[in-house]
Amino acid sequence: MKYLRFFLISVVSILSDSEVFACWVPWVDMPRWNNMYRVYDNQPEPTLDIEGHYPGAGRNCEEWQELTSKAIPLEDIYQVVYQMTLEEFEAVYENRNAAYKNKFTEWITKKDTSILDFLLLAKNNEYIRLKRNSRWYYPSMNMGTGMTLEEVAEKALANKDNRLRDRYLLQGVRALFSLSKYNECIELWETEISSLPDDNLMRQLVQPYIAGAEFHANRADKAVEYFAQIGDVQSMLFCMNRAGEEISTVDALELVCEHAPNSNFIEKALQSYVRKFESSWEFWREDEFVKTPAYEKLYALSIEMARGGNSNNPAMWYYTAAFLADLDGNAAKASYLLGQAESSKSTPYIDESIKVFRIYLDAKLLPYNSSYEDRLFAQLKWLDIKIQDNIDDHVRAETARGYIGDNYYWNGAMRRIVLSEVCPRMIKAGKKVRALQLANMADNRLFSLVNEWNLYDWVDDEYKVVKTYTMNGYRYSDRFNRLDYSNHFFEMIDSIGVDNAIQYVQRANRPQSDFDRFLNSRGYTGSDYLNDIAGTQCLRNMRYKEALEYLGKVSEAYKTHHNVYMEYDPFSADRKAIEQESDFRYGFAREMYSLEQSFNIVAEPNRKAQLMVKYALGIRNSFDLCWGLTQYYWGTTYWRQVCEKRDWESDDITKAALERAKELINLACDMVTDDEAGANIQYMLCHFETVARNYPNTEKGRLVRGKCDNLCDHHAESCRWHSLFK
Amino acid sequence: MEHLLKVIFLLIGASVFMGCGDERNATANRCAKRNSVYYWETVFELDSTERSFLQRHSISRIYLRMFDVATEPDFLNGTSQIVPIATTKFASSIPDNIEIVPVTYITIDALRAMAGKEPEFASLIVERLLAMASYNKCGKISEIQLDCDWTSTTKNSYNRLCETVKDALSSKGMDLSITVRLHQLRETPPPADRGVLMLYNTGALKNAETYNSILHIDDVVPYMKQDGYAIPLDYAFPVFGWGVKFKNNKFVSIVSYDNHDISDNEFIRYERPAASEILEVKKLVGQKLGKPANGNILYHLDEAQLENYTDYEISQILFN
Repeated sequence: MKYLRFFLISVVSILSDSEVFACWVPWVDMPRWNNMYRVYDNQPEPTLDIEGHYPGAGRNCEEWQELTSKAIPLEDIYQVVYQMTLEEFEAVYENRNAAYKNKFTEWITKKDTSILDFLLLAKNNEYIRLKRNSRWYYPSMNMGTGMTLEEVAEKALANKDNRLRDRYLLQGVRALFSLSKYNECIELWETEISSLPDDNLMRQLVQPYIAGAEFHANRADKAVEYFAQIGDVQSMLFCMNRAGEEISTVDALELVCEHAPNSNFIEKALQSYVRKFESSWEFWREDEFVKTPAYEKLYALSIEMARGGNSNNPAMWYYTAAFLADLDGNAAKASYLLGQAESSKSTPYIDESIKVFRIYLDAKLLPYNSSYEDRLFAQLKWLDIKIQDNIDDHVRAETARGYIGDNYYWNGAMRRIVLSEVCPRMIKAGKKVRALQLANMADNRLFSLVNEWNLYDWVDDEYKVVKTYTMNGYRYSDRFNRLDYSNHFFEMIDSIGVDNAIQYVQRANRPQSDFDRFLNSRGYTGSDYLNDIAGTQCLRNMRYKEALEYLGKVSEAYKTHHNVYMEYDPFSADRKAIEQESDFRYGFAREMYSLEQSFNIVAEPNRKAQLMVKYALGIRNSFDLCWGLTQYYWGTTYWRQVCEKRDWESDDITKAALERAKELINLACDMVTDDEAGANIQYMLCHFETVARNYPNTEKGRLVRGKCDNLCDHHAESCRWHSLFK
Repeated sequence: MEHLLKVIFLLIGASVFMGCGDERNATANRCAKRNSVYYWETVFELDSTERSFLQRHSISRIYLRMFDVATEPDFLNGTSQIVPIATTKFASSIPDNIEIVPVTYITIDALRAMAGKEPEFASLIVERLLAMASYNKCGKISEIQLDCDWTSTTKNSYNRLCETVKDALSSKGMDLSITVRLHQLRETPPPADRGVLMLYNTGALKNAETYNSILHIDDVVPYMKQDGYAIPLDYAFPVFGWGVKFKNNKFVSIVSYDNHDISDNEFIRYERPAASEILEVKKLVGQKLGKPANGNILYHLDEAQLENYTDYEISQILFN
C-alpha cells in the first residue's frame, strides 16, 4: 500500500511540476515529512565565517595569528591562507616589497618570509592535488606550477624550521598521499607526527590521511581504528565494507564513542542516522514503527553516553534517547528523558533542539485547555522569532518558487508541530477556529515573511523566472491562484463545516485576543479570499442569502483571479455553454436567493412550479456541470489528507442537495395544473419523451414530435443529468 | 649554377603537376599526401601483422582516438559534468616514422552541455590530447582532430569550440582537422584547417530494409549535389564488416560478422562493403568533391577486418 501511495505522490508530483498547466501547485510538504531531530550544527562558526567550509579553518587561522601577531585580523589570515589562489599568491611572492592592505600579507612579506615560503609550497601542493583530482587530468599534463608533487614532498620534509615543522609535515603527507606513497606517510606518522600532542591541529589534520594510507596498505583494521579516533563514522563503514566485513552505523558509532566520545563527527552521523528512523516511520504513518536491533542498540548507547560521564554533551544523548522513545510511541517516556536533557550539560544549539521537541511533546501530552493555549502562544512566539531570525537567501528563493519543505528547520518544525499534532487535537477538543488560525499560520508564515512569488516558464530552452510578484500582487494578478487553494489551511477550512468556516472568517475580522491577533497576522487573512471561501461554502450548503452576504464582499479585482470558472448555464437542464463571467458565484447566489423568495411568494401553481424547477436545476447544476459554484476541488490540485478521502460526488452535502432538488421537482410536477406549463417544465428538464407522450398537443409537445430525431432523450439513455429527475 | 637553377625549376614544376589534388580541393596548407588509417579502440596495441600492414601500404599517419568527451551525472550537485571517458591505454609503442593525429570524439550531449563554456573545454581537450601524445611518446604532433555529429542546432556551439581549438593549435604551429559526416556537407564547415569526410555508416543501421548501413552508393549520391567543399577534404573509407541482428524486423544489436546465432523470428544482416563498392563511392566523391587534399584514410586498423581485403584492393582504396 505504501508503495502505491508513494507512486501516486510521484505521479502527482510529476504531473504537477510545471507552471504551464492550470493544475500546477506549489509544493508544500506534508508537515510530518519535516525532520525534527537536530543535533548537527553545520553552520559556520559565528565568530569567523569560515569553519565548516574547511575543517579546522577557524583554529588554523587563530594559530597563524599566534605565530604572527594578535593585531592581524583572522579574516585577513583566512583570505590569504584559504582564499588566495596560487596565481595571486605567486604575484605577492614576486612583489614582496609592495605595500599590502591585508595585514597578514604585509607581515609575511616584510617580517616573516619563512611563512611566505611555506604558503607558496602549500598552495602549489593544493593546486597540483586539485588538478590531479580532475577527471581531465592526464600524467604529463602541464600543471602550470613551478614544481612537481615529488618536489613538494621533498622540500616539505627537508624543512627543519621548528616553528613550521608540523605544518610542513602536513604538506609532506598530503603530497606523498597523492603520489600513492602510503607507506612513507605511515612511516612519517609513526616516527614523528604521532608524537605531537593530541590537540595539535596539524596532527589532527594528518590523521585522516594516515587512516586512508593504512587502508590502501591493506590494513583495514588499523584504518578503522584511526577513523574511530577521529570519529569519522562514514569512513569506518566504507573501510569495513571494502574489507568485506559487515559493520552497522550503530556499531561504528559505538566504536567512535569509545575512542572519541566528543568527536565532531558524532553529531553528523547521529543526525543522519536518527533521521532515517524518523522519516521511515513518519512518512508512512499508517505503518507500525518497528523496533529493530539497531534502534535498541542506539537507544542503549544514547542512555549510556548520557549517563556515562565521557560526553561533554550529555543533553544531546538524553535528547536522542527521548526522540527514539517518542518514535516508539512512548511520548511520556520521551517527556521524562527530555526533562533529563533539559537539566543536563548542553550547548546552545542542543538547547534549541530540546526546546522545539518540548513544544512537540507538550502538543502531544498536555490537555487542550486555556492554560495550554497560553503555553502554546508563548512557544509559538519563540518559534516565530527563530523563523524570522534564521531565514536565509536560499530559503527565500525556495519559498518564492513555491516550495515549503524540510529545507528550513525552523519553519518545518513549526509546521510539523502545528499541523500534525496541535491542529488535529484542537479540532478534537472542539476548538476548530483556533485550529484554522494555527493552520493558516503554519502554511502562510514563510510566504508572508518572504513576500515574493516567482513565476517560472521556459524561455530559450531555459526554465527561469519570468516575473516576480509580491504575494499580494500575485494574489490579485490575472494568474490562477496556485497557492491559497493548495495548502493545509484551505483543505481544513474547506472540510471543517460551513459554520466553523464562517466563525473563523468572523474571528479573522474581529480578533478577540492577543493570540488571535498573533495568528491572524502570521497567516493570510485577506478578506476577499476568506469571504470567497465562506460564500462558496454557503452555496454548497444552499444558504444563498448568506452566500450573497459573503460573496458580495469579494472585490471585483479578486474575482478575476478565481482558480475556477463556470462554462455552462447553471439553470439549464442541458449542457449549455455561456460566456464566462468573473462574478458567477455572486450572480448565481443572487438568482437563487431571488428564486427562493419568489416561489415562496407566488401563489399561482403553474408559475410557482416553474420557479421551483429552475431553482432545483440551479441546485443540481451547482453540484454537477457547474461544480465551480460550490467547490474548488476540480479547479485546483491539492492532494493531502482530508481531500483525498472526500467523496465529492456523494458526500452528505451533495446528497442532501440533490435530494432537495428532486423533492422540488416532484413538488412542482404535482403542483402544475396547466398542460402548457407541465409541458414547459418537462421540456426544461429535457424530458422530451414525456413531453411527447403526456403533452402531445401543447406547443412544446408539437415541437418535440416535429424534431424528435434531434432530441437527445429519444436515443441517449445515458445522459446522466437528464435522467437525474426521472 | 645553371644546373642548380634547372633543378629548382624542375622541382617547382613537378610540385605544381603533382599538386594537392584538383583545384576544388587544393587549399590544404600541409600538402604531403600520405596514406592514413584510423585507430579506434580503447587500447592501442599493434601486433606484428598490423605493423607489417602499415609498412606494406606505406601508411605513415594514424588518426588515433584518444578519448571521448561525454556527460556523466554529477551526484554531488545533481547536475551533469562533461568529462573525458574511454581514454585509450597504450599497450604498444608508436611505430617509427608514423605520424599520430590525436582524435577525440565529442558526444552530442557533451556538446550541448558545453554551450557557453566552449573555450574552457576547448582548452581542456587540447591540453589533454597533447598531454596524452607527449606521455605516450607519439612523436611530433602537427594536427589534432575533433569528431562530432553536430547538427544545425548545435552548430554554433561546435563552431565556437573549433574556433578556440584552432586558435590554440595555431599558436603552437599545429592544425585542426574535423570529421565531416555526409549530412554535414550541406552546412558551412566549422572553422578548421581541413576535414575528413566519413564515408562509412552512411545508411540507417536499425532499419531492417537497409541494404548495407556501412556503405552503399545510393546513400551517398543524395549528398553529392555540390561541387567542392569550403575546406580541404580527405576521405575515410570503411574496411570493416559486422552483422546487424533483427528480431521481428526490430533492431536487436550489432554482432560479429562471424556470429550466426539466431533464434525464432531473428535474422542477421551481414554487412561488409566490397572493394568494388568502396571504389565506386571513391570515384563518385572524387568527381564531385575533388581528390583528397592529403590522402585517403582507412577506417580502421584491425587485422581481423583487414584480412578480408587483398593488398591490391587496399592499395586501390588508398591510391590518390
